[in-house]
Amino acid sequence: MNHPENDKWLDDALSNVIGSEKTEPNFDKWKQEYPEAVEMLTSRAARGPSASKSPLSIRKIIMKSPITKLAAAAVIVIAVFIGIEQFDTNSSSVVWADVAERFESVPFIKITIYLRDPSNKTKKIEIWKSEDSRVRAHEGNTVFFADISKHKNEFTIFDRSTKKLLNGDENLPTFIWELCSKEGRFSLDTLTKSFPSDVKGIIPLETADTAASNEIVLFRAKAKEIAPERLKIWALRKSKLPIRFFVRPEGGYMDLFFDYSEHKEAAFFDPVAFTNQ
Amino acid sequence: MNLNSETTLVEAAQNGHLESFGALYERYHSSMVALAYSMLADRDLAEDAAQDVFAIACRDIGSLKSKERFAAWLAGICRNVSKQMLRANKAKPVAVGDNPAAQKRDDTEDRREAIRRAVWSLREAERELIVMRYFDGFSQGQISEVLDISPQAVNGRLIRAKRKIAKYLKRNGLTGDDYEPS
Repeated sequence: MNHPENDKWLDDALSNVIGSEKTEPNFDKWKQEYPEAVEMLTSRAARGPSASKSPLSIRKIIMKSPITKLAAAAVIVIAVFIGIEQFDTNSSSVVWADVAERFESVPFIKITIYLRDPSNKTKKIEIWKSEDSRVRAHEGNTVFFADISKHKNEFTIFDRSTKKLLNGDENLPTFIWELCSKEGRFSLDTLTKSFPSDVKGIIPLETADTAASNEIVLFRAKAKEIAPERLKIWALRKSKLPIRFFVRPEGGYMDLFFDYSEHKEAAFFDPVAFTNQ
Repeated sequence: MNLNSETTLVEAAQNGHLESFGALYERYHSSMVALAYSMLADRDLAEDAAQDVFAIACRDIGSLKSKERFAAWLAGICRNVSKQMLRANKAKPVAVGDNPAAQKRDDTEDRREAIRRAVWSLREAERELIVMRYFDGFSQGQISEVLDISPQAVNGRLIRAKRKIAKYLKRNGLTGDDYEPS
């Protein structure tokens, strides 16, 4: 039996054992059994078209549900990286392109995001990326795992306390995926391709403090909906690595901290190891 | 797959259009029952799981960003629902060897049981493929869409899974020579 997969008897046997009566989907019956789900869906009509077709509005996005706020955070981060123009300035030897290039070359990284919405609730999100492009993220009691080197939006989500597998809410994993780029690496260029341009330029500013200015360069960005003083980026002058990113749209803020010192072992990024702990 | 039509349906459903969600329900109900059956090994429970899958999808469809991946997203929900049902002891992965009536089984039933056991001894990913292929005769394209793998990968994995089943059966003394369709 060299090629059993071609044997008709096996096909017949499998059809016979597994084969079943045709399923008969009955949507009307389903609607009666799940009126709450139906209500939730139809109530979306009253809220109007989904945000995907609307122009980016940071304030509007920040006002949404907690998980969507995370995606909003990504949009803001990404938007700031978009449409970056090189400003020639004599005031600093570090330009934004240097920072973007350096950022892409780091082998591992941890990003901590503090997000405050208009109701003054602060959310903390932590994201780690390993040398081999695995990603782990924590948000509240939820932990996310993804392998971005596979170029697929695949992820696993668990409750951190019970280690129970959770149903997929796509927002945060997509956020991570987009933040990490579709090419299995952290790239700011890739991000600029898929999001609308809200920010027109990021320019370095000199800080008043001479000592600080020797070590840190402060960037200011121009944005459609955010005043310059509400959007600041700090990078190390010598290494050219970004270390903090602060955006303060009306009614909330988002503060990101980049950490390049926290190396994690492979098991930290392994969902199986997590469940076996 | 008519991608445009499907993404339009998904988008309409995201905007609260119930009939569009109904069209998606009609389109994927059967594949969700098959997928759930591959884990639960019980037709009735698989039907229940599929109903729950669409309730969750109906509730959460707004969170789906990649509209073209609706089927794969639905499959992810289906796996989670089925696993939760298994954990809650509502189902056993496969009820082999613990059936009181087994002692009275004739040879045909023994063979069916052996085949069933062979299928449920496969890895989850292979079992999903085999069950989807033979449960309701889904095409390679349909399986590819739901399991989010290429049609070539479907074909390759299907061949490997069938080889494993044949090997298992041979080890247990069942070959094509013994097989008589019931």
